[in-house]
Amino acid sequence: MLKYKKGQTGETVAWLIATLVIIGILILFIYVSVLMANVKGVSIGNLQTDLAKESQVLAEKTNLSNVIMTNKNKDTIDNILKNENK
Amino acid sequence: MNLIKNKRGDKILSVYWFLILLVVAGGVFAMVYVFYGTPYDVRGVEARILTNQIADCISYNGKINSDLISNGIPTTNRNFLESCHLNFNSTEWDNQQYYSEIYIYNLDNLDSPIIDINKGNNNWLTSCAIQENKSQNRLATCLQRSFYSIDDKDNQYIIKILSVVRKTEKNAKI
Repeated sequence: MLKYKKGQTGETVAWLIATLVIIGILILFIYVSVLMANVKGVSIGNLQTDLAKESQVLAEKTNLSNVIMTNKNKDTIDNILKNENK
Repeated sequence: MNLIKNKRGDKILSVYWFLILLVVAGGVFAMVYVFYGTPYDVRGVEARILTNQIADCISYNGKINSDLISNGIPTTNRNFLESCHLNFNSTEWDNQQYYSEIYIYNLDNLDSPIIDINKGNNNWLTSCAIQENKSQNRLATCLQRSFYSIDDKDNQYIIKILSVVRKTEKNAKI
């Protein structure tokens, strides 16, 4: 009879630990989904459209003007733009 | 007597399993709700599109729009939004959700702009100062970009464009 009770206690403790593990895993997964939701966004680089090329629009304008001016003051301009577009 | 005890144990275990099932289902629901309940933030893309649209309006084929600078002299035409085909008003919002600043500097003097144009709702400008070091979802998104262009007399200019998009309610969880 005593042995039977000991077995029952062991089984109950196992279930208790299993419950804690299940709840712990759930909390971890919920936390991860909160983190993933916070970084959810759309960036130009991820878009599968012509918009990706749009990120180069300003650089192309600068280059075109540099070509017209045969790179006059190019280093100064590049330095200014490098600081501005950090 | 033993049989009755065993049956009671089975019942308790069934209730336990049912509770665990509910907890797991609730957890899965919470995960899906948290992830899909958070809207996609497209304000960065929108600010970039706005910047590009303004840049196209200011400079085309490497030369500054003659409506802004003609013969090296800034013109007085400041009907900027209309000439760029931009409309900052929307029926969806009570107040304007966009703000734009354009500064055109002569390459020889970067301290004071020869042209400055401000359009839209300047209340959102404070968000840019707050987010200088770290961006925050609940504030307006700011994007500042600069490029170089020349006028018809080959004078050289640096153009700075600041685009601010708010629309927080549709792009961030509040």
